[in-house]
Formats: sequence, C-alpha cells, structure tokens
Amino acid sequence: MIKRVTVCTLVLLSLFSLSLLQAQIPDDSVGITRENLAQKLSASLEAASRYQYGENREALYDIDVIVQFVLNNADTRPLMEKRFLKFLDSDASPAAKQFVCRKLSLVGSNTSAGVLEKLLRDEALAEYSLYVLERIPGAAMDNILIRALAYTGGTIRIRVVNALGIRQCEKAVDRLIPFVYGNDEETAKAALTALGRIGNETARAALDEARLTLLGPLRLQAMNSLLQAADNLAASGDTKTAMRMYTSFCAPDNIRAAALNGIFNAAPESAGDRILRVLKGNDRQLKAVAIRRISRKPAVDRITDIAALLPYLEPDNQIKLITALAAVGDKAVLADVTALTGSGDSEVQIAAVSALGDLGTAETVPQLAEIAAAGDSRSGAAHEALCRLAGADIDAGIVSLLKTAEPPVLTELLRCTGERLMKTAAASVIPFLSHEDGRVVLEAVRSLGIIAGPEHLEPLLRTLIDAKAPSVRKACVTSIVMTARRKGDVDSPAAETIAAYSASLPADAQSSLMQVIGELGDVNGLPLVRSALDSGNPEVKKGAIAALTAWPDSRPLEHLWRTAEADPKGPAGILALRGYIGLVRKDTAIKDDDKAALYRAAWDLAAEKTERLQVLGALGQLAAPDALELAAAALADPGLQAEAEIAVIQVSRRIWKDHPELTKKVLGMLLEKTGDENRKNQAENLLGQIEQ
Amino acid sequence: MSEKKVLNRRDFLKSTAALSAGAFAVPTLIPASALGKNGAVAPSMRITMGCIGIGNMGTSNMRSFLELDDVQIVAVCDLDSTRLQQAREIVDGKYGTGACHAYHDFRDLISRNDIDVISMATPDHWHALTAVAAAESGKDIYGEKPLSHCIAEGRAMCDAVHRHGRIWQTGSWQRSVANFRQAVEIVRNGLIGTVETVHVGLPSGYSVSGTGTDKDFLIQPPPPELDYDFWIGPSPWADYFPVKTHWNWRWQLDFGGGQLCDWIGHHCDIAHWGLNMDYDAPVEIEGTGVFPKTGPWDAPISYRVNTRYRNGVAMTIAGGQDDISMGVKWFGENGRWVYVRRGEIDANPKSLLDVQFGPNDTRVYYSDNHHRNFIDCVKTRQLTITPCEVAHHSQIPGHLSNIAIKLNRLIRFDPKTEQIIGDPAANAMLSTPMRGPWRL
Repeated sequence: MIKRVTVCTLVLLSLFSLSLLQAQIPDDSVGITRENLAQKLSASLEAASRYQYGENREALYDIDVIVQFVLNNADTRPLMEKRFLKFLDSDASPAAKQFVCRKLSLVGSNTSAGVLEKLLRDEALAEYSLYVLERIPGAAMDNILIRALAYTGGTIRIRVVNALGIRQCEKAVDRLIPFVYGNDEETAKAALTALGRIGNETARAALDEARLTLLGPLRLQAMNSLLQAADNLAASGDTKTAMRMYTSFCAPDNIRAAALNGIFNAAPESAGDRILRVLKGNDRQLKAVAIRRISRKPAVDRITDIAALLPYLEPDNQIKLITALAAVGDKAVLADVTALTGSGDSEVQIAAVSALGDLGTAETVPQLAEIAAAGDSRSGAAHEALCRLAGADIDAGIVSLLKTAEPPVLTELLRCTGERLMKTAAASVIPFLSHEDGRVVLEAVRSLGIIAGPEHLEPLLRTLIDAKAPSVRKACVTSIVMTARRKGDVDSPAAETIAAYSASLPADAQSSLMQVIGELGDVNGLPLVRSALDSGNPEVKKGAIAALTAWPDSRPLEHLWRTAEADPKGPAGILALRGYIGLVRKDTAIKDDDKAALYRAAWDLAAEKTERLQVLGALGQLAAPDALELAAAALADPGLQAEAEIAVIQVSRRIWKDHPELTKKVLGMLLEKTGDENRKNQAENLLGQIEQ
Repeated sequence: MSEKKVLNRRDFLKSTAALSAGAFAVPTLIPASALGKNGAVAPSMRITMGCIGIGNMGTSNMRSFLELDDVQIVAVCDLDSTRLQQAREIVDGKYGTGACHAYHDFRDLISRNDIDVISMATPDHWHALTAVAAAESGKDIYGEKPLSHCIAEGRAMCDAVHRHGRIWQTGSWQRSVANFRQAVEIVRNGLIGTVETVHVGLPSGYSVSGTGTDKDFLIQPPPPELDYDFWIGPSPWADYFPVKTHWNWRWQLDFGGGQLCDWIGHHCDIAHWGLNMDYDAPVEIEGTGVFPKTGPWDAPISYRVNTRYRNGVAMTIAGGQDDISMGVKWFGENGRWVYVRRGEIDANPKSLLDVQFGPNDTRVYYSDNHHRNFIDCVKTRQLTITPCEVAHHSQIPGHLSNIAIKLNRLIRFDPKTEQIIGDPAANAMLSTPMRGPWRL
C-alpha cells in the first residue's frame, strides 16, 4: 500500500516535474531478448498470478512490456500464447486471468480455441473468454461462439450474439433467427442487431419478416438493423438493393427520415430531383430532411429549381431552406431569397436578409443599407450581412453609394467602411468629416480610426479642433491615437498632434490634443503638456493632468507629484495625486520596494480618504515589507480598515517566506482588529503556514 | 413565432436532417439573437433538454444551458444518486417549478418523446452507447469531448448521427473563443506561409482527485449512492476503490484515454482547424510514452508522438516535453509561426497579431458561445461549429497515438477506411470488446 501512495504522490508531482517522475520509472523493455523472453515471461506471470483489482500494476506492467516486445517480434508469439494459455488453465486470480485474456486477444491464434471454449463454459470466466473470442479472427472462434448459443444463457448469451454480429459471422444467421422470436426480448434485440450487422440476403430477409410481424421495440430494432444493412450495402456498391430497402420504409418518422438520408447517400446524382419531389409534396417532416441535404456534400444539382419553391413552403422550412441556400452560396438563387425579405413572417424576413450576406452582389448593397438604416427588426441582420458581403466589387459599390446616400443610410455605409476594413475608402470618407449632420461626422471619425493612414491625420486633427460636440472630439482622440499607432513612428508618434497644438486653441481642443499626446506617450510632447500644467485656465490644467495620467509609463511622475504637492487639497492636486498613484501602479519597470516608497509618499500627501484607499488597493500587488507596514498602519483607521486588511493579506502572501516575523506581527494585528470571518480565516491559514 | 409554428415545432424537430459525407465550407447561421429569441420565450416554444452525466463538465454544461431562455431542462440522469439529486435541485432552483425529472438509466430519459436534445457528459466509455441510442431516438446531442473511447466507437457515433440526421455539438469549446479563432485565421490567410509542421502540446501526468491517503485505493464495496456495475457498463469488470470512478476514470484506459486523449479533442481540434484539415487524419504515427510502473493507473504519463498527414504536414503531439508547450503552434515559412493556448496568443513576427481580417479574407465559422451555437443549429438544422465528424477526426490522432505508444512502432493508417494497414494487432486496438449485454 505504501508503494501505491508513493505512486499517487509521484503522479501528482509529475504535473509539475515530469523529469523527476521519469527518473523514477526505469524503462524495463531494454532488457528483453529472444533468449531471456521465456524466463522473463514466466517470472512476470508468476508475479502477476495473485494480482487483484486496484492493486499495484507492477507485474502487469512487466507483462505489458513483454507483450510489446512480442508484438514487434512475430516469431515469439507462439511462445507467449502457449504461456498465456497455461496461465489461464492455472489457479491464478480472476483479475490476473482477465488481464492475460486482454493480451491474448492481441497475440492469440486458433491454438487458443480449446482453452477459450473451456473458459466460456465457466460462468465466472466466460466474459474474459468472449473478450478474446471477439477479437481473434478465424472459423475456429466462430464455431465456438455458434456452439455457445446452445449452452449459454442470459447476459452471456446476449454477449455471444453480440460477438457473432461484430464478427459478421454469416454461418450464424440460421442460428440467430430463432432468438428473434424467443421469449427473451433483450436476446431478440441482440439477434436483430447482429443480423443487421451481418446483413447477407438471409439476414435481410429475416429482418424484413421481423419488421412486418413484430411489434413495438422489436419492430423498431428490426428496422434500424435493416437500415444498417442497407447502409452497408450502399457503402459496398450495391446501391440497387440498398435503394429498394430504403424505399420500403413508410413509418415511423425517424426511420423514414433515416431512409431518405440513405437514399441521398446511395444516389447522390439524383438528390436534386428527389429533393424537388419531396418539397413539392405534402410531407412536412420529409421536407425538413430534404432541405438539410442541400447544404451537404456532394453538391446538389437543380438548386435554382429548389429555390423557386421557397414561396410554397411553410415558414419553418422556408427559414431552413434559406439558411441552406446561403450555406451553398450559389448566387443564382439571389432573386428567390431577396423576395422573402418582404415576407409576411418576420423571422423569414430576417433569415432572408441575413442570407443576402452570402448571396448578395454589389447591387444588393443599397437594399441592405436601407434595411440596416431602417431601425426595424431586420436591421441588425442587414448590417451584419452588409459587413459580411464578399466580392471584389462590393467595396466599390459602397463607396459609390456614399456620394448619393442620405444621412441615415450614409451613417450605416460609413460604419461599414470601418467594419469592412476598407482602407482604400479612407479618402472617400474624409469629406464627411465636415458634414452638416453630426451623426455622419461621428461615424466618419470612427471609421477613419480603423482605415485612415498617416496622411489622414491632418483632417482628423482639424476635425478635433473644430468639433463642437464632445462625442465627436472624444471619437477623434481615439481615432487619431489608433491612426498614429499604425504609423509605427517610435520616435515621435504624436508629431502631427504636437504640431497642431497651440495654447491659443479653445481649452477643450487643447485638452483633447494633450490627451492624444499622453496616450501615445510621445516624449517630444512632454514639455508642451508640462507647460499646460501652469496654465491659468483650470480646464487646460485639468486636461494636462489627464494627459500625463494617460501616459503609458511613469515618465511624467515627477510632474504629477509636483502638481499634487503644490495644492494637495485643491482639485488639480487631488487629480494629480490620483494620476501619480495610477502611473506608479502601471509601470512594471519600477521595483516593488521603490513602489512602496512612492506609495508611502502619496499616502503622506493624501488629503482625502479616496486617495489612501487607492494606495491600499495598489499595495496588495507588492512584495515589499514596507508595503506591509504601510498597510498595517492603516488597520487602525476604521474608514480604511477593510481595504487595509485585504492589502495586509495580499502582501503577506507574497512576502511571508522572506519576512516571517514581520508578517506574523502584522497578521496578529489584523486578527486583533478584524470582524470579518473570511479575512480572519485567511490570516489564520497564513499564520499556520508560517508556523509550519 | 406563430401559433401554427408552435404546434408544429416538435414535429419539425423530429423530422429533420439528412445524411452527409461532409459539409460545405462555412454555414451561415441565423443567430437566435437575430431571430429575436433572446427575450422571454414561452415554455411551449423552448428546446427541451435532458442532461446525462452530471459530474464536473456535465454540471458546467447544464448551468450554461440553464442560462439560455429558449432551452428548458426537463430531466437529468446520473448513476450517482447524490449527484442526481444535486442536479435536480439546481434545475428546479433555476425554474422554480420542481418539474425536473431524475433518471437513473439513460435509456429511460432518452425514450421520452417530449425531449428534443440531450447534453451528454458521461465518462468516455459511455459516450458511444449513449450517443447512438440518443441519435436513434431522434435526439440532437451536445456531447463532451473527447468524442469517443476508441476509433470504432467514434465512427459508430458519426454514422448514427448522420444516419438519423441529428445535430451534434462537441464540447471542444475553444473553437468559440476569440484568440483561437484569431490564430486560425492568421494561418488560414497564409500569413505565415505554407505550414509543414505543427506542435500540439498537451498535459502530462495525472491530476488525481482524492485524499492522497491509503484509503483511496482500498478495495471495498461501492457506496450505496453509486450503481457501480452500471457505471462499469461495457468496460471489463474491476473491483471498486474510492478513487476509481469520478474524475479519476481518465487515468484508466478502460474508461478514458489519459491526458492525451482527454486534451487531444481541444488542441488537435484547433490544429486541424488552422490547417483546414477538419476531415483528415494522419497516415503515419510513431511515438513513445512513459507508463506508470506502479499504482492502479495505466494511461501514459508523458509521451511524444510524431505523425504525418497525406499532404506531408508533420504534427507532433506531446505531453511532458520541454520543447513543446501546452497549446498549438503552427510553423510556417521563413521562421514565421503562430502559437495559441487558453488566454494567450503569440506569433513571429508579432505584427501578425495586429492584422485584422475583412469580408474578402478567409474567415472561419464564427461562434462566440458554444452552447448557444448548438441551440441555434438545432433550430436551423445547420452544422454546428464542431460537428461529430470533425470531432472524430480531431480525436483519431489521440487514439492512434495511444496505440503507437503501446506498440512502440510505426503504424500506418488509412483515413478513408479508418483501418491500420497491415497490422492486425494494432487494428484490433481500434475497437474495444464490450462487456455483458452492451453493444453498439
């Protein structure tokens, strides 16, 4: 048992240290040769003879290794088979015999017949024997199984019937048929299944008779077995017989559906004609089956004739057929599908509109744009279809339509230029930056954020400066940043923005331009933003602080600190201190100990509780003793206690191994003060770890 | 939906589907959201579901389906009565009706004519029996990965699903996650050039669930809440010990396929997707593995398998190898590559990650909600993002790897016949004899 636990531990360890595990599992296969095979096999079988389920598989492992050797050296199989048979005739444990039977199923031959039949007659071991009998090919094994039909019963006999079916033993058919009409329903079902697998003429005739004479589950099984036989015939090339069988089914629905599937499979060349016949009929169930075939391979012919039946189908099947036609993608059916965009059924309308995304052409663009702009239940599908439409002329069609479209449609088209990544359309979008309709301007700005090139920065900047609506200005900031990033200029990504900036611009424009500089982190713009910190206009000053806060690294830390320090209780100072804390947190290049010192400075300067909470939230990310001490100091403040406790636990988890005494002390303080059960448990667990 | 449709919906569900040898490239789905189904849905219009196998993944899937307004879970089934009761309480708690039926035997659940679809998350050795029975009964199926316990069972599942025209979604949910789709589209659009080599990195070892004490392995009668004989089902009999069944079946080849087969349905699935080889399988497989010498488990602990496909693509499947990380890595030309795993995507050059794709680029099947995708496809009868046949082909390399490792020799596979060429012993391992009365 100890060994077992060791293994369990090892395998768990293996998830993290495979090499360790491998080092402890020697490869024993190396030592096996033809010369020592008999000896090794005997020793392993002897060791395995007392094996019980769930025990160490050590002895079985050795046999596995030897089997591997034997399977790679065919001339040694007889020796192994002989030893295995002797073993099966011994008083070895059932579990060991079961294992050996599995291996025998890979190396056994007719030689095994006698022993296997003997095992089969033993109720306790019959199952093991059947495992082998099912796998070893040849008439000898078939004969054992056929004979066993006479002397086995219950589950074992069902198992025998199953094995004969799997082996497709034609000799057994006459012996199996009586079981179909026997007293035991489970054996009858097994026999029907086996007959379906065997599927020769006699078996099929028996199944056909069973289908007509039996009732209930047995009848259903007979039909399923006939279907299986028909499928096998079709696969082997006898489609004529298969088709005759498929067409003989008239009920129930699921069998009829499967039979129609079989017909499609057996005669793919006539699938189109058959689908048409089904769709023209009244059988609603079969229509759905036929429609499904349309979007599968091999391709179905007569697609246009099939599409022409769309108006005559029930809405459910209309939706399915539209979806299937879209999946096929044959544009010849476009008119039929387009007609249903005006169907009286709203779901059919949506399906048709969505399908236009696969079937449409440049001529479809205006219709989709109109529907997308209409704001009705089809609009979402129309927009998605418009963005999905593929083809060389689609983009040109959209650009062309931009010139004449009115605002609602125009807005939709502009949205699509971005979502379709129409970079060549950027020049055509630029004029809409000065459109009189604010919604159009906004969509143009958003689109350019995705498709504009560096040459379009200037009009975007102009739009930002001139913008009256905050939403447009905000969108401009985003689009300019995105466009500038695509430029790939690492030295001065915000060069155009810096050039466009002027202290004489309105405050909101200055702020937005500084925001661009900040988000791009352009060092060349830092003096400009720093100067704005001294502006007499509070809005400009606020914009400068926001820009510095947005900086991707801690370069502006000093400027924010000075601003905060200059007026710690004023709005600018508070904003600056928040930005300072955020930048410290953001910059991964600053060491934890240094961050703790920077946070302590912020802590001391903070005039409001909010900023101290912000510091406590950031402290938890640090592995620094100063951070723990800072958090500990806050435990005494009722307004900060909860955040401080969380920070203490988080920092403690990071540093307790290097600073156990300090951690114990602070956790002790937490336990004295906290009323929170969860944090108390966490602290106690940590202390337990430290004590260990 | 009109009253007429309400009345006919179940008929339509029962009568759908057609046999197929494959699929067209990318089916267009009309999402339920477009059909206005995201709002309140009348109970009579919901897809009715039964959940079979309610352990870890089964419960997780059940909870996901409970969140869909157009799904009504009406029955649960498990051989562990404790789990069964918990599942019923979850469902009844959600609906507040107390109407969820609990079944011990999956056949009783499947025989209900008022159930449209099942969610199946049994141990691997039960997948085929459950799925085939469900397909024959006209149910659509959300089935957990790995698809099958052996190649023959996977084939039987695909055949039953095709024959009866059922909709199948495999729980290989990575296909419905953005970073995997992004990686696949980078490869499919040729941004790394022609791919000749792929690394599929899988976990190694076992993540054993238990107390870690001797008691875990003590042979003893099974607990009263578990129908252990039924649980063993088609697999060879073995006595019970406490960590034998739930979760740990994965490490016993009679019930699962180890980490290799457990994860191949995720990462090989993505590898095939990127290669546009969803319906292909390797023709040569050779590899080695380390098996535990002691203890009760017998699945390989670590492994390295080299496979080759008909078009020359070489795929290495590895677990516990320092040079191959968990996930998928496609190697293209001129040192270009794409690597993806859960929560991570990387490429060389990095700029590949900034590339966006438009309508005129190669786009792959879009799904951002794996369970939603299944239900949408149940309604439209289109292929899901991971249909049975695709999952089967994702699983084949895993099964072949286990065989090649066991035999320690090169095996040659014919993807068309799904047989191993000229190797009767290896061929025998493509299927597993079933115990007792069980059969496919």
